[in-house]
Amino acid sequence: MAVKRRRPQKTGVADQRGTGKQQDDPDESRQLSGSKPNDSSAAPVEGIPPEQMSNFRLLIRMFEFVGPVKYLAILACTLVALATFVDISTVNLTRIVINNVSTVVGATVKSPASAPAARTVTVPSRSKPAASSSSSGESFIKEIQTHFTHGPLRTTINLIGLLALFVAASTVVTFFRWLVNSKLSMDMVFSMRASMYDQLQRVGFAFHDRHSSGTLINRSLSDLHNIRQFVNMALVQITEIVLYIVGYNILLASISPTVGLVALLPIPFWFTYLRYFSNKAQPIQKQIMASGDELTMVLSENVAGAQVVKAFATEKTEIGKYDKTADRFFDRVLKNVGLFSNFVPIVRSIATASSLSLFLVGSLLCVSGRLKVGDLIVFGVAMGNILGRLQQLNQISSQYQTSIVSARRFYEVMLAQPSVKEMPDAPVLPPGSGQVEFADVGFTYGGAVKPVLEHISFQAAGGSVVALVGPTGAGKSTMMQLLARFYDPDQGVIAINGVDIKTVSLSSLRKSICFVFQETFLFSDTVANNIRYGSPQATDGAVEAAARIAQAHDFIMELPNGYQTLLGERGTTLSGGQRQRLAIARALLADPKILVLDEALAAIDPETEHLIRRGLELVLAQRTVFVIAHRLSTVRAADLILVLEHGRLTQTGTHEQLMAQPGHYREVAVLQLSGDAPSFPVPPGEAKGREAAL
Amino acid sequence: MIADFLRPTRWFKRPGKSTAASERLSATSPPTPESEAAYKPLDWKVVRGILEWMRPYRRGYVITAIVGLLVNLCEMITPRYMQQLIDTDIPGKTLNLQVRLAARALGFVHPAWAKELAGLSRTHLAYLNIFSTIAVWAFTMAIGLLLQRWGILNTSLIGEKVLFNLRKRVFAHLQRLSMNYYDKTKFGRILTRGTSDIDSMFNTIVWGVNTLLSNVTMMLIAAVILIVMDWRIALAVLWLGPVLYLLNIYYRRRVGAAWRRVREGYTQVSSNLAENISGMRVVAAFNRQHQNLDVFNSLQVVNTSNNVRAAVVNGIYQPLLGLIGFLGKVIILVFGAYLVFHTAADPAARKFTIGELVAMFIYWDWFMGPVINFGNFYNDTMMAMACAERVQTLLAQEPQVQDRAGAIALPPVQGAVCFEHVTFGYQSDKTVLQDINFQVEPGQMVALVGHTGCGKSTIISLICRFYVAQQGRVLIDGYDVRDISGESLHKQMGIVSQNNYLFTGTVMDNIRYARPQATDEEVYAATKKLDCYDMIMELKDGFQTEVGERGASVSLGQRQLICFARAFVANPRILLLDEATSAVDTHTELLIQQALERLTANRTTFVVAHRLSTIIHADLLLVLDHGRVVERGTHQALLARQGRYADLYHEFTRA
Repeated sequence: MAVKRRRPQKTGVADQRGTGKQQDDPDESRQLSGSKPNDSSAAPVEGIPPEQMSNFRLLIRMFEFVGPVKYLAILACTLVALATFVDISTVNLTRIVINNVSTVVGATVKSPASAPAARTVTVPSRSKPAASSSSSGESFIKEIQTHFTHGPLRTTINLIGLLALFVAASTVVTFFRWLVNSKLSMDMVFSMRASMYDQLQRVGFAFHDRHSSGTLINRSLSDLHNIRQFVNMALVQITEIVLYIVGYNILLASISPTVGLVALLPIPFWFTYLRYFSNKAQPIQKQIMASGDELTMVLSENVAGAQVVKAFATEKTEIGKYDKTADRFFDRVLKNVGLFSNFVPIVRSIATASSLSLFLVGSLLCVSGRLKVGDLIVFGVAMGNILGRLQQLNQISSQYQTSIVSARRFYEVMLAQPSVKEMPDAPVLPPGSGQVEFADVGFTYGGAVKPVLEHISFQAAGGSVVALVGPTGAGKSTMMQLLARFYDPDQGVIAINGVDIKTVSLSSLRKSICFVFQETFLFSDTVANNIRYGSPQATDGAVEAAARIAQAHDFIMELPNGYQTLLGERGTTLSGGQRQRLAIARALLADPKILVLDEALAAIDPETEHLIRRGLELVLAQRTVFVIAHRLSTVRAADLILVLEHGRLTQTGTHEQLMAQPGHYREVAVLQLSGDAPSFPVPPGEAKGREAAL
Repeated sequence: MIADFLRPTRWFKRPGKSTAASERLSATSPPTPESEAAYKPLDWKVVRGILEWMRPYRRGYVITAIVGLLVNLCEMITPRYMQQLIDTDIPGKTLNLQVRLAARALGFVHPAWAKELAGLSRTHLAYLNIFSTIAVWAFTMAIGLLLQRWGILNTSLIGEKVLFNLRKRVFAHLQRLSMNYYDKTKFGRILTRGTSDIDSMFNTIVWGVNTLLSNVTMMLIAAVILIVMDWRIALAVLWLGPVLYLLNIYYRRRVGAAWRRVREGYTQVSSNLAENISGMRVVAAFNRQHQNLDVFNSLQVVNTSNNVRAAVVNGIYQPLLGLIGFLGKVIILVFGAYLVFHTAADPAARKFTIGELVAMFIYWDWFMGPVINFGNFYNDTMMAMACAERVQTLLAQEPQVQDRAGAIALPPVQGAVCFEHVTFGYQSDKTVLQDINFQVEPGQMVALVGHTGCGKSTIISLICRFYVAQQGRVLIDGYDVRDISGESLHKQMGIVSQNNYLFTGTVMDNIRYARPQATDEEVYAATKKLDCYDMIMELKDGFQTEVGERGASVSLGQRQLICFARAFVANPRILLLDEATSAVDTHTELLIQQALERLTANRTTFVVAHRLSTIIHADLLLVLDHGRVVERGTHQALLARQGRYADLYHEFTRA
C-alpha cells in the first residue's frame, strides 16, 4: 500500500517540533508571518511551488491518489456503467410493456381507421362478453387463467417478468456499487491521510511555524475530504452522468429521431442559464460567507473576551454591534433568497417546457401512428434525467473550484521539503560527557530579513549548567532549537561531544537532548503513558520514580485513578503547574544527556520549585543542562550565564562576573530585586550550585 | 416520475461557512472533536420550544403552507394530462374535458363554431385534444411555478427571520450570562451554540412545516386519486406503503447505528490527528513519529471497516426500498394491463384505458416519494432536535449574577472597598475564600499575595461582581455590590488581566473601547502619559494599525500596554490588575511599572502579581493562604514579622 512506500527512512523523520505559536517570541513570529513565497524550506520537489501551479496541473496531480486504487476505480466505473444500463433498460422495458398493451388493445378494438367517427365503437367478441359482465367468481378466475396462459396478457406478463429480472439485477448491482464505492473512497482517503500525517511529522519546524496547528488540522481533514470527494465525483459520477445523458439520448433517438433531436434543443439554454446563474450567485454567496464569517467573528471575540466586555460594561454596545452585523448578513441572505426564488421556477420552467414539447411532438406522432403511447412515458423520464444530470455536472464544476483551492493548500503541505535533512548513512552521536560548542553560529528564519542569531560562539563543558537570559525575542529558544536541529543554522557549526551535529543521525541526536517547554503539551492518554511518552518500554517503577523526582507523584496519587487517570478533553484537567511537573517527569524518564528547560518552571510556585530542584540535583549530576528563564533568581547560580540581546551574545560569565560589569544582566538583576536591594543584599555564593540554577 | 426530480428543498441551499472562515476559526481553537449528540429523538418539550420561536410568524407559516399545498395540487393534476394525451388516440372518447368546456362556452357565443367543432374528423379532434391538453398543462404549471416562486421567497424570508432572531437572542443572552458560564464552558462549545447549532436547524425551521405538510398531503392526495381511479388496483398496491414505511424505519435504525460507529471511528482518527499536530514539538522531541503513524493507521483501518460496514447496510436496504417501490409498479402494470384487456373486450364495462394505467403508475410514484423522502426529513429533524435542545438549554440558563429588581445605579464613587466576612466557592461544596475581611480607603493600592490557587484572582472577580459571595458582603463606598446595577458598577472599574484581550479593529478603537466617545487627543494624551505613545507610533500604521485575531500583529508587551491605555482612558475609580505583567519580560515590565505609577495615582488599585517586586510599594498587602488572609500590612511591616510573607519573599528573591 502507498502508505508503506511513503514512509520515510527511520532517521529522516525526526525534525518536527513546530514551535507552533511562538508564544514567548512575538517578534520572531512576526518575522515569520511575512515569509510565504520564497521560503526555501517550502520549495516543492518539482520546482513549481503549489501556489504557482496551474489549475490544470493541480487537477492532474489530484488524480495521483487514484493510482494505488486504480483497479477498484475501474471496477466502480464498470458497476456504474452496468447500473446505468440496467436502469435505462428498465425504463425502456416499461415502455415496451405499455406499448405491448396498447398494441394488443388496439388490435382487440376494431381498427380505428375503419371507424368513420370516433363515437361509435364496436368491439369484436374475442373473449366472451357475457362472462365478464356476470362477475361470478368461478368464471372470473377461469377468465384470468385464460388470459395468463394464452391470452394477450401472455406477452405482457413475459415482458414484466423480464422487467422484474432487470430490477433484481439492478438491486444486486446497486449493492456492489455501494460496497465498491465505499471501499474505493476509503482506500483513497486512507493513503491520503497517512501520507499527510507522515509529511506533517517530517516537514519540520519551519513549516509548522508558518502554519497554525488549527490550519493544518483543517487541511488534513476538510481539504483532504474535498479533494477525495472531487476525485471520486470526477471518476464515478462523471461516468454516470455521461452514460445517462448519452444513454437516454440514444433511447429517445431510437424511438424517434425527431424526438431525439427535440430533446437536444433545451440543452444549450439549460447550460447557459445554469452558468449565468452560478456567475450571478457566486458573488452573492461569497458576500454571504463573508457576512457569516464576520458574524461568527463578533461572536467568537465576545466569547473569548467576555471578561473584558463585562469589566468595561460594554454588553449593550456589543449587542448593538452583533445586531448590526446580523442585519447586514440578513440583507445579503435576502438577496440570495430572491435569486433562488427565481432560479427554481426558471429552471423548472425550462424543464417543463422541454418535457411538454417532447410530449407535444410525441403525441402528434402518436396520432399519425409513428409512435406508440408507451413511448410518451419515456419522454418525461428521459428529459428529467438529462436535465437533472446536467445540473449535477454544474455542481461538479463548483465542487471543482472548491477542490482546486483545497488541492493547492494540500500540496503546499505535501510538497514542502523538510527544512532539516539528514546526511545519508549518518552515524549515531557518539557517547560523551555532553559537551556543547557553538562556533560563530548565525541563523535567520526563512523569509525574514533580520537574523535571529548572529555570531554565537560559546563552549559549555559536559555536565555543566548553562543559563540563557535576555529580553523576549532575543533568540534564546531559537538557540536551543538549533542544538536539537529543529532548524539548521545558516552559518557556523554546532558540535556535541566534539562532533558536528549535522553529521550524525537526527534520531540519535534528539534522543540525547530533551526539552521541557513552557507550554506543556500532554496527550489524551493516561498519566503513566504521558510520562512514558519518550520511552514506551519504561516500567511502572521507573515511571513512578521519575514522577517522584518531578514532585508529581503526590498529586497523581490524588487523581481518581492514580497513574491510570485519563487526561485531556474527556479526562481530568490538570493545572499549569501539575502539567509542567508531568512534562519534567517525562523528560527525566527519557534519560537524555542534555536537558533543556525552556521556562519550564514558570508556572510552578517557588516552594514546589525548590523541591523539584532538590530532586533534580541527584538525577542530573552527569547531564548538561540549559536553562532559559525570565526570573533572574533562577539562573543566578549557573556555571555559565549567556546574555542574549538582539540575537547576539553580549555577555558571558558567572553571576559574580556579570554583576561586576555594566550591562543588561546587572541592569535587570537590580531592577528585579529593586526594593530589597538595601535590606536584602544578594545572598552570597552559598546559593550557588546546580540546585539554585534550576 | 416527471416532477419528482425537482423539489424546492433539494434546490434551495444557502452557502455554508467559507473554508477561510472555518480555517480561521479552527486556528483560534483547534477543532477538538466534541462529544455532543448529533441526533436526538422527537421531544415535545423541544418541539414546543421551536414552535415558540416560530410563533411570531405563525400567520406567515400558515399562508406559505397553504401556498405550498396549492403548488402541490397544481403539480398533482399533471398525471391526468398525461392520461389525456395517451388516451387521445383511443376511440370512444372524443373531446377532452377542457375542449368540451371550451366548446360549450363557445356555443354560447357562436353556435356555428360549436357545430363545426363537432363535425371535425377524428385526426383533427386528436390534434385539438393534444394541443388543448398541452396548453392547459403548461398553464397549470405556470400557475404552480409562480406560486412556488412566491412560496420559496416568503418561506425562506420567514424562516430566516426566525433564525436571525434566534441568533440575536443567543448573543444577547450570552452577554447576560455571568463569568461562571464562560469559565466552565469550552470556547468551542459556546461558539457552536451561536453558529452551527442554529445553522443546522435551517432545514427544519425554514422548510420543516412546508415539507411535512406537503409530503403528507401529497401522499394522501395520491392515495385518494389512486382509490378514485380504480379502487381494486389501489387496494392491491397501497398496502405496500406501510410496509415500506416500516422497512424504512428499520433501515434508519440499522444505518443509524452504523453511522454512529462511523462517526466514533472518525472522531478517533481526527482527534488523533489534531492532537499530534498540536503536540508536534513533543512528538519530535521524543522521536515518536513511527509509532504514531502506526497508531494512526490502525485507527484508520477501523475507520475504513466501519465505513464499509455502513456501506453494506446501505447497499442492502437502499435497493430493497427501491425494490418494494418497484413491486407496486409491477402490480399496477399487471393488474392494470389485465383491466385494460378485460374492459376493452367488454362493451358493457367502463373502459379502463392505458392512460389511466400510466396515470396510476405515476401517482404511485407520488405516493411512494414521501415515504422514501421521509428519511431525509427525519434526519434533519433529529439533528435539529439535538441542536435546538442545546440552544434552549443555553437560553434557559439563568445568569448566576444578575441585577436585583430595583437595583440602583451606583453614583460616582470615591473608591472605598470593603469585604465583610466574605466566603465564596465556585462550587458550593468547595470554598475558595473563607471569611475575608478588609477595608480599603479610596486611592489606596492593595496587593494580593500568595501561591497559585490561594484565591487572589477570586477576590478581584468578587469586586467586579463576576461572581457573588455566598456569605458576607462586598461594599463599594458603602453600597453592597448586589444592590447596584452591574453596568453602573463596571463603568467605574477598570481591569487589566493576564488575558490581555484585544478586539479586531485598530489600536485606536481598542484604546477607546470602554469610552467610545473619547477624542483622539484624549487617547494620545493617555498614551503619552503611559509612555507608550512612541511605541504605538512605531507600529506599522501607528494608531490605525489593525490588531487582528487576538492582537496578532503586535507583541505581547505591546498588547499589554494597549490594555493599560484602555483601562486608563476608561478613567475608572477602581483599578484591578490581575497578573497584568506576568507574561511580559523584565524590560517591558519596567516600562509598565513606570506607567503604572501614573495609572494608579488617585485610584483605588488592587494588584495581583507573581513577581513580588511589582507590589512592594503597596499601601496594604494581603497575604492569602488557602482562601484566608493570613497576614496583612505593609511590605516592611510584614518582613519584620518574619512570617508567611517573609518566607515568600525569601523564596522569590532567592529562588
